[in-house]
Amino acid sequence: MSELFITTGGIIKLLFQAIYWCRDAYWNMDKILYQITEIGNNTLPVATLIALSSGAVLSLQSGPTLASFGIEENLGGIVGLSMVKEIGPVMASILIAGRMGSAMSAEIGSMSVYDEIDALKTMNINPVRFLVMPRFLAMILALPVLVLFMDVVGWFGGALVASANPEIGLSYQVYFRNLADFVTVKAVFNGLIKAFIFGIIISIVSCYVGLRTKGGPREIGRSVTKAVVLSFILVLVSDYFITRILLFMNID
Amino acid sequence: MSNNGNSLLNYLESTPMDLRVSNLYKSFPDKEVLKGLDLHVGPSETHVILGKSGVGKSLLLKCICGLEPYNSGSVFLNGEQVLSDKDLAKYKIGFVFQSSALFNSMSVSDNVGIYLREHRLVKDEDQYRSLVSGALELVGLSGVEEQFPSELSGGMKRRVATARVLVMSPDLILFDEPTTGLDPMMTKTIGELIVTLKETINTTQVVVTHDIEFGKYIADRISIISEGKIIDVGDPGNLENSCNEVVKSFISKKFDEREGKYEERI
Ligand SMILES: Nc1ncnc2c1ncn2[C@@H]1O[C@H](COP(=O)(O)OP(=O)(O)OP(=O)(O)O)[C@@H](O)[C@H]1O
Ligand SMILES: [Mg+2]
Repeated sequence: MSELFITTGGIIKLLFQAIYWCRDAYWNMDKILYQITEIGNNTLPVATLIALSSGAVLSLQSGPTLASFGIEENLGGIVGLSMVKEIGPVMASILIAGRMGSAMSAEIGSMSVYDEIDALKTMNINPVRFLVMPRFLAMILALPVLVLFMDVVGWFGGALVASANPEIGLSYQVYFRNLADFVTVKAVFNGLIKAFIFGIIISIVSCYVGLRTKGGPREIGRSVTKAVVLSFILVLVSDYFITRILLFMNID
Repeated sequence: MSNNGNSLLNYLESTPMDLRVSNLYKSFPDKEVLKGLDLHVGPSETHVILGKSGVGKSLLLKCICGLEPYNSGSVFLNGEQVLSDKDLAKYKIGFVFQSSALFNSMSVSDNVGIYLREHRLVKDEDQYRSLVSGALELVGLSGVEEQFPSELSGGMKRRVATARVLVMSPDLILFDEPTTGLDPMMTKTIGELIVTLKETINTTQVVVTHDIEFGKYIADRISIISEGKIIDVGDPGNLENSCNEVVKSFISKKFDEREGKYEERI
């Protein structure tokens, strides 16, 4: 139990340190851009696939039911809102946690195990500034962009099925006109807030677990698992509460 | 680049440090490692600490440079007691790790130049490159700038790690077992490097080792550590004349065990 408090405290402390060191972001632009490129290269292909199939499945499952009531023209709005508010942010976060969070904890974990973090400290180079801040910033900037990308790809996935599936048989024009009616800037913004918070969670948790890695090579593997599982749990649990708060604040 | 010798030597500005460790205690939940250790290393001195494996030599170095907290006792740098990380940050203490601890994802030149880059100490790319190659030249490793740590031998890694420390203009350099895992030829090269550094940059050096011959070759003074304390200090010449029984047995035993030791390290 005390372990839980120590971990929570440590993660929050690391978050504040990362925020503090953002003041040196300008001087570390190269590292931040490198991390953003890494995120892009590693996630875009899979992100396209996931978004396309999520949109398609949403369409496939709700389309025929709506059609049976004769209200299939509302499909655009349903797929559009689901993608923007929930599927986009959550899928993107799961993908980023699995792909980049694991890489971050492995890289930083191996640096801890092989004394590289200690080497940084003896050279008066703050490990949070050098390692955590660029990853933190890259992720909170890249994740919302990735979500926007996945939203749009998901809409197309939905449209594709809506027009191709004979049980639905909805034209692109009708689908997108309805989507445009329902999906407001506010709804998109709502999803981006989630993505932003998930980005904070994933980057800080992964870096924290990496920095706390001690022992031998086996611990690196254990850290990766721990970082990914902890990120998943925190993302999914916080998703509920963020939604609740957004509803309460009437941003939803 | 300057004509009168190595660009790094012209750039370096270190003030050899006076190091004093007094009554240092350090324990872990399951065992007490350092038990009231005293040590004094004068400015520009190369001080060798000899001791068996596991007595806490690495730990002592880590306590000195602030990587490990200690339970009680004090460390004085140039006569001032270290009370916080701020006191430590005033000084430049280079640490050459037992494992070299090079950054595996970075090229040799990025490894060596990291201190200059991160503290924004160089005016331009030219100065950066000449300082990095100057440092590598000093450790006898020209032309490996573009290689990665995984492509280097153990001895080369140790020397790159030394070069990385040199660009800091260190006031004190701590070497943790610089010869472990190296063959006798490379051990000699490292020994010569440490002696050269003593002559050229004149900084204070503390070298931890369990290789007696190596220690005697480089040392101005030698301390023997055993059971958490320094049990004897002396010149390399009169180590054999020590009247301390533990020192005597350590020195004689060491020679017998030597073959076995090398076995163990591989
Ligand atoms: N984090 C730690 N937790 C518990 N015990 C530790 C820890 N670090 C070191 N020790 C113990 O402290 C003792 C001294 O370790 P240290 O690494 O300083 O030895 P050493 O003299 O450098 O040995 P070697 O010559 O093998 O490098 C060892 O017995 C080790 O078990
Ligand atoms: Mg050691």
